[in-house]
Amino acid sequence: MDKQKLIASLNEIVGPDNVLSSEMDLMLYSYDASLDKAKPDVVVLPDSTEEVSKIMALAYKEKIPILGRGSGTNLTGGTVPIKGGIVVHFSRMNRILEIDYANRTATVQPGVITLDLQTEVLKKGFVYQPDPASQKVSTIGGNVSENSGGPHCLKYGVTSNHVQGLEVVLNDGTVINTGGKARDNAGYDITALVVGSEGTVGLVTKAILKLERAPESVKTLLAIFDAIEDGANTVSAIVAEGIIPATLEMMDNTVMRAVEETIKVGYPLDAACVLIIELDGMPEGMDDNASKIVEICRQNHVRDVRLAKDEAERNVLWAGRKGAFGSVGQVRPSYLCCDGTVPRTKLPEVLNQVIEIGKKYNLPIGNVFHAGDGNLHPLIMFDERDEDERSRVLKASTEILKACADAGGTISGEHGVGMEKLKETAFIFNECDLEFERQIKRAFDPDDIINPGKMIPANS
Amino acid sequence: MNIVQLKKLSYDEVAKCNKCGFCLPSCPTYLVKKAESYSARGRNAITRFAIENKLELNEDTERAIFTCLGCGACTAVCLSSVQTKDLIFQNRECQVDAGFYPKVAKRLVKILEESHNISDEDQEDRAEWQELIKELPEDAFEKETADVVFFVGCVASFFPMVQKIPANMAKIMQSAGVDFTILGGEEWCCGFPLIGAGMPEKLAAMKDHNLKKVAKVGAKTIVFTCPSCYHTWHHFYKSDAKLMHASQLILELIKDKKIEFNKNIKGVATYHDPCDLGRNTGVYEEPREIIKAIPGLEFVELPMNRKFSVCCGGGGNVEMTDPDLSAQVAQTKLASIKAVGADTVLTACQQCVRTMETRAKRSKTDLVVKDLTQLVIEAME
Amino acid sequence: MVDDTEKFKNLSETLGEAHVKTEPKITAQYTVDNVVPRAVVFPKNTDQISEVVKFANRENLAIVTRGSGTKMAMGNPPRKLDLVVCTSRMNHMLDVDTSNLTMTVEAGVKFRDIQARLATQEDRCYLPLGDLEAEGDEIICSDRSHSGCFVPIDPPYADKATIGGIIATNSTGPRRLLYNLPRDCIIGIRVVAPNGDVLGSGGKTVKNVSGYDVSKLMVGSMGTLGILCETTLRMLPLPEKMETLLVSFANFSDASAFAGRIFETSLLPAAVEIMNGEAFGHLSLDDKPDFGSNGYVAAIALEAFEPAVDRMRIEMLNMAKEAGAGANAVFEEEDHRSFWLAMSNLSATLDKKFSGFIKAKLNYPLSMWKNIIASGESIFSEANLDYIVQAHAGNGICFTGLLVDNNDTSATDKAVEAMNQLLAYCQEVDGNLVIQSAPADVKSNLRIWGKIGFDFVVMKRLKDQLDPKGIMSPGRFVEGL
Repeated sequence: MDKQKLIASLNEIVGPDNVLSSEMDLMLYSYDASLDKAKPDVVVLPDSTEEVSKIMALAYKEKIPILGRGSGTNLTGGTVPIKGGIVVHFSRMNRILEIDYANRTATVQPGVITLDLQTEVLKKGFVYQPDPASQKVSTIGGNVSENSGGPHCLKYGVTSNHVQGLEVVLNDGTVINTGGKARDNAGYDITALVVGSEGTVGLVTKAILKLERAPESVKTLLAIFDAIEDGANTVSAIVAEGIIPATLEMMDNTVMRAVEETIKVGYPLDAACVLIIELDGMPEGMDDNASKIVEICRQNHVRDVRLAKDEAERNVLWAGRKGAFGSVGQVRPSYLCCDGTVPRTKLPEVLNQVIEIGKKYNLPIGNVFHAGDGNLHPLIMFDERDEDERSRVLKASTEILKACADAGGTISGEHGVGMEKLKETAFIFNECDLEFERQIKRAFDPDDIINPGKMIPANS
Repeated sequence: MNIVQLKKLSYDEVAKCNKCGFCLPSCPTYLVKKAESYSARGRNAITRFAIENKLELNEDTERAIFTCLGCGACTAVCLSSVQTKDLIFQNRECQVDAGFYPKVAKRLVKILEESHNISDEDQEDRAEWQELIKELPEDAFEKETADVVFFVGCVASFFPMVQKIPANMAKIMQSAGVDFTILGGEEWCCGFPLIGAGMPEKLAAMKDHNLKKVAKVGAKTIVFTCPSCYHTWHHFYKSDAKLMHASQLILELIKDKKIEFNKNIKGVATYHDPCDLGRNTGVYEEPREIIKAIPGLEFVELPMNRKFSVCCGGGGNVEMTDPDLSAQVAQTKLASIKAVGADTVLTACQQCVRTMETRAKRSKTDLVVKDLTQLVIEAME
Repeated sequence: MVDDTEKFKNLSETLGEAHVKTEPKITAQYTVDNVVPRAVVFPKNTDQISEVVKFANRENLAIVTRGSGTKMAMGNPPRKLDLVVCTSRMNHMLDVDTSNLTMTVEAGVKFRDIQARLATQEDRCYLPLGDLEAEGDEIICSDRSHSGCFVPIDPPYADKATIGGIIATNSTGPRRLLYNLPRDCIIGIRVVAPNGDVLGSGGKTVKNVSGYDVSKLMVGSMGTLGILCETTLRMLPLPEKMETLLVSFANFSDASAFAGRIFETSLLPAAVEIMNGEAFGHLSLDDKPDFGSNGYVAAIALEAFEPAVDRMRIEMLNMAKEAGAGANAVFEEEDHRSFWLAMSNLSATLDKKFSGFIKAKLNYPLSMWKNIIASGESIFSEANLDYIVQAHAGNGICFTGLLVDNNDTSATDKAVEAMNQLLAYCQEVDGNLVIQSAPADVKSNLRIWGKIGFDFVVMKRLKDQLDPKGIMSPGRFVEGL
C-alpha cells in the first residue's frame, strides 16, 4: 500500500493527531533499550480496542507488518520494527479499567505502567506480584508480552502466573477474550500462550491480573561477601537447604559502584558482592528462617549480614537494585545484558565462566541478577560508538549464552529472544522444537505480519 | 552553534543515555502528549541522531526540542545522570543557528535587547508594584546603598497577577527591619529566557549590567523571589554577594524572631517545589520550615516532591511556544494537588503561581494558589 | 470383529509383541466412554511413543492417551478411537535434583511415587506412605532422596493418578489456594507432537521465556495436541508443620461466613474446603469425627512454620466460634495427610458406590461462590437428588456430584436436567460448569465442556495447525476438538 494512502487510512481510524509519520518520529520509534534499530513506516497511537482492531484489520488486508509497543524498555529488540510497517504505541491506552477487590482482579489497558497499578492496589493492602526492575516505566502490555520476571518472582512466579485473562486483537482484527475473572476455563490455555509470546501472536488490549493480599511482614537482609564465589555458593546452598525466600538477588562490586554514583544506598564498596535476601509472609517463623540463612551465609564466609531496619532502608536497598541497569551508564555509555538462566546449582560454575569471558574479550562485565532463580544478567559495558568493541561484545554475549545453555540452562529467563538472540536459539532448540513454534505462530498469524522477525529464527 | 560544535560539546554526554526509558513517566510533556518526541529519551535521541548526521534539524525537531520545560525531572530519575536539560539547551542553540526556532523566541530576544525586560514595557514601570502597598511614598525602596538588593525579576514586575509577590516581600523585609533596596528601572532581565531560547551568548550584556548595578549599591546580599533569576545568578553570574532566595531570608527572619505570626491560617495546604528553586538549585527545606511555622495550617506533601517535583507547566519558555501544552501540564499538576486533599497550593515562584492560578481559574478548579510571601504576610497580620 | 493383528504387526515389531494388545478381552478394559479401541499399546519411552504416533499418522488412526485411567470419563465420547496409548511403562524418574528443587519424570510416573521419592529419611512425606495401597507388582519407589521436598500439586485420585494425566487434565485440589496450579509448577516438557516429532520446551530453569510456553499449552489440553512424555516440575521443601482444622457448621451460610472472615486476614492457609455433610459422610477415613449429616464442614489445611500454624489454629478457631461453629477437630501430621488423601479420593469412592455418579467442576469469579452454592443447593434439593458439594473456597472452584444409580432412569433424567440448570446459572455469572465424569450413556444429554470461550476461534486454529489430521483424541475436547 502506498504510504500516503496508509497514513490517510490510519488518520481516519485514530485522527491525524495520533498518526506520526515525520522522519523524526520514525527515527524515534526505531529503538528500544536494546542495541538494535530499525525504522517503522508509521506510528499510531490508538485509544481503544476498537481502533486497534481496525488498525489490525487494515494491516491484515494490506499485509503490512505491525507491532505493539509500550514504554520501549525491551532489552532484546522486541519492539524494534525490523520489517518496518506500523508501530502501535499504547501510551494513550493507559487506564486502570477496574480494580475488583472482591474477585481479587485488576483489569487494565496495556499502556498502564506496572508500578502505577501496584501503587494503587497497595492503598487497599493488595499487591500485583511481578516486579520487573523497570516497573517504574514498563507497561503491563510489555510485561505480558515478555512474561516479565523480577526479584520477587523467586517466590511468587513470573507474569504468566499472575495473568488471569486477556483481550487480544487477532491478525484479522477479531477481538477475543481469553480466561477471565473465573479461573480454570475449559479449553487450551491461550492466556499462557499469549503471555511471553513477544508480541508475535496478536495485540493485547486488556489484561485481567491477579491481586493478592500484601504480605503481613517483610524482612530484608543484605549479606556482604569478599569473594563472588562465596556469594554464589551461598545462593545455591540456601536453595539446596530448601529455603525459598521472596528474593535472592546478587550484585557485584562493579554494579554497586555504578549505582552508588546516582543513588546513595550505602553499599559496601570494598566488597566483592552482596546478596539482597528478602523474606515475607506471616511473621511467625520468619526469624528462625532468617537465622538459618545467616548461618548458611556464615558457612560461606560472609563478611557481614545487615538487616534493613525500616521501610525507608528497605526502599533504598531496592531502589539501588532496580536502578542497576541504567546506572552502568556511569561506567560506560552502553551495555548489553545477557539474560541467560541456569539451574541454580550451576550458578557458581557459570558465573566463573562469565568472568573468564569478560577477561578474554577485555570487556568490563557487571553482574546484578536474580540469583535465586539462576537468572544471570551479566552487563557487558562498552561504547557502542566503538565498532571493534561492539563486535567483541556480541561475541562475548553469544559465548555467555552458550555457557548457560551448556550448563542445562536457557538463553533467556525474562527478557525474551527478540531479534538479538535469534541465532542463539540453536543452543537450546532443535529443528523440531522450532518447527512446532512456527506452527503455533502460523495458527495465529499465517501471513507473518505481527512483529515479524522476532523470537523464532526463520526456516533455515 | 553548528552540528560539529554540538558534537564536541554534547556527544559524550548524550551517548550516556542507554535508552532505558526510566525518564518517560517523569517527563510532564510525555505524560500529556504520550509520544516519544515529547520525552526526555526522545529528545536525547534527536540530539544524538543529529550529531550522527542521521537526522536533520527541521520544524519537527524544533517542536520537540522547544517544548521541553527544562524542569530537569528526567535527570533526577536518570541512573546514568544524563544532563538532559543542558543537552536540550545546547541543541536549541543549534536549532537557532539552523534557523528552526519559534518566532516568539526571535521576538523575545529583540524585546530583551531593546527594552531589557520580557514584557516590552517601559523600564520605568518596573517598580509599579509598589503602588499595591498603601501609603507608601514613591520610590520608597530605591536607595543609593543598602545591605541587601531585592532582585525583583521581570514577571513579578510586569504581570499584575503576581505583582503582590514583590509587594509582600518588601513588606516583610520592611517590617523585619531589613536594610534593602530595589534597582528599579536599572534592573534588567537576568537573561534566563535567552538560555531557554537557545541564545545564551546574548546573556552577557544583561549580566554585566546587573552585576555593575549591584556592585554600585554595595550590597552583600541579593535576595530573589524568582527562582529562575536566583538560579541564573547562581549558575551563570559570578557575584561575590551572597545569593538568597526569599524563602531562605524569610526563614532567617523567623528564626531571629524578626517576624512573628499572630494569626491562625485555616485549611489544608501542600507545597509545590519550583523546578529552578528545588531540583535545579537545591532549596527544598526552607519553604517547608516556613510553612510548618505558620500556626493552624495543615500541611500535606505531594507524592512527587522535592527532587522529584513535577513542573507546573510554566518552564522552558513553553508557555510562549506552546501555550496549550503548558496548560495541559498545569492541569495535570492541579489534579495531583487536588488528589492529596489540599485546598491551597503554596509555592515560591511567581511563574508557578501564574501558571497554576490561571489554569485553576480557566478550569474552574476550586484551589487557592499562593506564593509563600503572601502566606507569611497573612499570618503576620 | 476385524482382526487387527496383521495391521499392528509393524508396531509389535517396534514395541515388542507383549506391548501391543489387540485381543478383545484386553481392549475391552480400555474403552473410552464404551468405545472399544482396536489396540492398546504400551510404549516404554519417548522414542517409542514417537514411533507409535508416526504409525498412527500413516495409518490415520485416532489415539487416546491413558495413564492410570482415573479420568477417562472426562470429555465427550471420542469421535473415533483406534489406539489407546498407555504410559504405564514410562515410569522412570529421570532426574531428581533436590538441590535445584526440580525433577524430571516420565509421564507414566505415579504422583504418589514422586512424593514418596522426596520423603525424608523418617518417611515424612506429602502423602501418607502407609495409606497408599500398592497394587500387585507395583512398589513405591524406594530410592529416596531424603530431601523432605514435595511437588506442590494437590490432585484428585492422588494415590493412582500419573503425572502425565494430572497435567493433561489440569487436575487440581483444595490446596491450590497456597500452591497454585500444575501450570505454575511445570517448567519443562518433552512431547511427541501429532506428526510424531519429539520436541522439548522449557527445562530445569525456573524462569524461561525462550519461545512460546508450550509447557503451559499442554496443561489441560486432554492429549489433543500431542502426547506428554516427560515433564520437569519444580518442588518445594515440606512444610515444617502440617495440621488440619475441621469445623462443623449448621448450614452453608455460617460455614461461608467463616471462610469469608479468613480471607479478610493475612493468614495463609493451604486450603479452605467447605463441604456439605453428605460429602464429609462419604469420606473414607478412619476415626472420622461425627458431625452429623445435615450441616456443612469446613476443612482448613495449615502447612507452614510451626509458630505460624499455631497462630492460624488459634485465630481461626476463634473466628469459627464467632461464625457459630459447632464441634471441631484438629488433625496433626500423618492424620492431616490421611485426611487430605481421603478428600482427594472422594470421587473415586463415590464412583464405586453410585453407578450413575455425575460429577461437575464449577468455576466462577471468587465473589460469586455463595450464590453458586446456594443455587446448586436449591436446584438439587428441588429435584430431590442426593448430592455432594465441595468448594475450594478462595479459588472460585467448586465440585459437585449427584449420587445417582444408573438404573434409576427418572433420577438420572433429573440429574441431567439439574446439571444443565446449574450450568445456565454459572454462565449467568461469567462462570462455567464442566462435567468431570458421567456414565457414557447420559453424556449426550449434557454439555460436557459447558460454555465455549471467546477464544475458541484460536483453539480451533491451533488444533487445525498442529494436528491437521485430527488423530489426537478426536472429539473429546471442547466443541469436539
